Amino acid sequence: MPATAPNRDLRFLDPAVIARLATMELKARTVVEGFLSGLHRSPYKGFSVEFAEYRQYLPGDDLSTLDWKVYARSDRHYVKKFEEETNLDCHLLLDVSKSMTYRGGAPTSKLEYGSVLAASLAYLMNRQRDATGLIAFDEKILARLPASARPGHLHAILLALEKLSPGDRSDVGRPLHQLAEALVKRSLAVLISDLLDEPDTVVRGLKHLRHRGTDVIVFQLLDPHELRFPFKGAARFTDIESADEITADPSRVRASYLKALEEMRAFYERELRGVGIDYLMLDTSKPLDFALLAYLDARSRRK
Amino acid sequence: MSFLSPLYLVGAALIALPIVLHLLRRDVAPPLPFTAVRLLRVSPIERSRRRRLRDILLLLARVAALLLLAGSFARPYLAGARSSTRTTVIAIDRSLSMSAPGVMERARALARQAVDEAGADRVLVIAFDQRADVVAPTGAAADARLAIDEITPSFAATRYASAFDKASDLLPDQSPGRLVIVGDLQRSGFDGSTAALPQEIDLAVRDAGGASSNLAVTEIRPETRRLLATIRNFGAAPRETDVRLEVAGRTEVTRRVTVPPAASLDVPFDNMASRAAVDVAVSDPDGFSGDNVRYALTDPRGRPRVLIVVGGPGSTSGFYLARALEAEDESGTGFAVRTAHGPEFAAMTPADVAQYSVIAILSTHGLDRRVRDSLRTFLGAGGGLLIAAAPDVDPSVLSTVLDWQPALVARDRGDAGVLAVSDLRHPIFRPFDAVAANLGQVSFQHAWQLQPGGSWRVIASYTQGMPALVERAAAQGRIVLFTSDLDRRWNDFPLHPAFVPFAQETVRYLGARAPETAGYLVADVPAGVPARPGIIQAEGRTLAVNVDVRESDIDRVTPAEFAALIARAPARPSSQPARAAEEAESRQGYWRYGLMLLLVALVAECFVGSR
Repeated sequence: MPATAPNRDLRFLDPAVIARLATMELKARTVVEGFLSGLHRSPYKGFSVEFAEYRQYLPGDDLSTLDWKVYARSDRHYVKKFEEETNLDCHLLLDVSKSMTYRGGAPTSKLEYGSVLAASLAYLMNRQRDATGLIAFDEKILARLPASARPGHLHAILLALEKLSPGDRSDVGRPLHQLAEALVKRSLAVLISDLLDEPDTVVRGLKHLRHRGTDVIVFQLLDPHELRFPFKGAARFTDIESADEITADPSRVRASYLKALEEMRAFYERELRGVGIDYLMLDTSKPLDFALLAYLDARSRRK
Repeated sequence: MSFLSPLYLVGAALIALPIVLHLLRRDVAPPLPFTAVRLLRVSPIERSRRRRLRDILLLLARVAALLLLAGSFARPYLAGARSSTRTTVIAIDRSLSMSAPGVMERARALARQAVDEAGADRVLVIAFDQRADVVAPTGAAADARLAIDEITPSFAATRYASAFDKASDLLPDQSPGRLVIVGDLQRSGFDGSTAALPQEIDLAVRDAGGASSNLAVTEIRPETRRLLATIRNFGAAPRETDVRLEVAGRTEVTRRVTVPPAASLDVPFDNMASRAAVDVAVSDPDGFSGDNVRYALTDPRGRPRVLIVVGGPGSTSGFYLARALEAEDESGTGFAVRTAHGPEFAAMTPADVAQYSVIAILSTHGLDRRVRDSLRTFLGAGGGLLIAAAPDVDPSVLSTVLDWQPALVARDRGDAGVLAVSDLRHPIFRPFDAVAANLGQVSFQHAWQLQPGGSWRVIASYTQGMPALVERAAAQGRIVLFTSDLDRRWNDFPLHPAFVPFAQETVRYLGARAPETAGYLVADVPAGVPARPGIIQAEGRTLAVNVDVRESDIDRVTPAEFAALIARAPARPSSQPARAAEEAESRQGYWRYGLMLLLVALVAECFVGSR
């Protein structure tokens, strides 16, 4: 069923408005609930809490799980056994390197946008009782919250996101390799980064993760200025991370820049899709629920 | 390269501005934080090099524009260019003395020869007498020769100083200059003026020769009942000549005289003093032609001319007044009197009327509104008006033509009594002395009784108390009203001894305007009067214009004496270099090219800057 009766006020809530909201939890709720209401009776249900089986009551079981209706019908004590909500660990990998702090033509920086995206995903996962974890990294892992489905865990993730401070240089491949080595069960890894790193390194890290049986979704966040390079007049372009400088006339290098950007994007798409990794590039000036829609779309297709 | 206004070059220091900006902002690209710098490593080096080239071109264009602006305002000129060519000024004497036979022709030939000798020099030709004029500016030799051929003698005297001053002005400073004087080298040309020539100007003197003898009429003096003409022989031999006295171009008297060498002779012409304008001429084919005739006004402005306005034709009115005014005093100078009837006076133009110092109105017959304009002009110029009451004088007509407000109101009154002078110190009565008492013997049977009013001042009254002689100011002039008759109809005043001095002093008082010069030398004539000898009517005046008698002297100097008489100034006045520089700069006009190049530089700057 197509999406109907969307709540436009929330569905197209501008990231700038979200950014002004007080806390990360509120931001996440705003985005997700807006999205959910917009996808009323949507086929994209994602991970649902699934009923597994009944088993006989054993002393020591939680009485709250006792199914009184079955007892009324059969005069036997059964407890409802739900499928383990931790059957899917979702790891949110958020790049917090300096390049993520860049804010050109968008109302928020890539880091803010990525944080809201991560919080929104965490909120959504939490509502679906999936275990969600958070890894913030630059060239190394700066913060890590293990995946958990506990109700209070969402708050911990949101709190961690709020307290994130920008890191240093980025090295996306390295934390990916570390995570791949650490994961022991089927998981979902969501990488939120600008991927302005050496593409081969990034791809190797992601492939390593994928080869470990992990589902991977990659959100590449790019600022409108990075996407369109709208600068005028000669400028000394200074790399935020490496402090490298290049003096260039935008009118002269715009074409080559866009071409290189497109090549990089095509490379990621080609390499990642090839190993079953979903790759999505997001414009940080666009509403955030697009990102969630893309995420669910990708997941449904994976299903 | 020199500059007329070098201070403007200080403005060239502004070129430091773009240079400093260029150095300080060598990399004009501002820093711009960015993330995907690694994707920019495509062609920055090539771009930067091109930009540096553009910056240098921009810098050059801006520096050039500022330099050209400052340089143009400083008005550059090539000082060295002036010294490459010498300037020769050929000064030809065109004074009266050059009118001697053959002298001017010789002078022209010598001047043409000087043009030929000038070779590659730039040649200027000036003609001088008491002033010097450029007749051929710097140009082709053919133009100079043509201008020389057109020079003719004038009537002015020689003043070498005028030629030297003009040459000093024309010859550029700090460049070789040469002055060639061509003339008869008349000694009187040095008279009364200091002839000085800057030392750096070479002087060459060309003697065109002169007259060996010259007769000149040097003076005409009116004396009692005769005119005295002075004839001078400047030559070394006695000269016999006819002396003619001419009136209005017609010979009245001819005298044959012999004038001793280097001496003057007075030639009297009896019974000619009453002629208004005369000329005396001698025959002198060998001398200067301009001084053979001299003009004189025997009735100059200092002797008041009186116009008596009387009734219609046949009227004897004005007889006594005219006779009284024509009576000569001890000095032999009376008044020039003319009697005109009313219509004749009314037909006169303001210029005609202005020739008179005093107008006496004894009748208002024939006067109309035209008289009002003439009298207004006449009084405005300081003329005097005498009005005498008489049976044919209408007070209302007087009030009309004289714009009197309120109008004059007078009525006849009999038995006025005798004259009683109120103020013997008045200029009219001051010279009476012994005859003052005679005024009391005159009985006035009739007189006007004036109504009070107006701005009359009483000078004399009758014993019956009525004003007899009153005056009032009118513009710059003066009006005197005698309230009784001057034609012996209302009194017997003309028969008394006091009448003549009364009439003369009244007219003299009324005509006491500032005496005007009626005799001029050719070089001194007022503006608008032609500079030639003769009796000349100009602006309602009659002028006698004559040549300067000093020019009649044939005494000459040799070229060596001539050179010795000139004071050689050691250096030019300080203003000369500046003026010469200004002329050189004006001639070259490099600033125009500078501004054009400035425009080119600005266009180039715009073009390069927009790339």
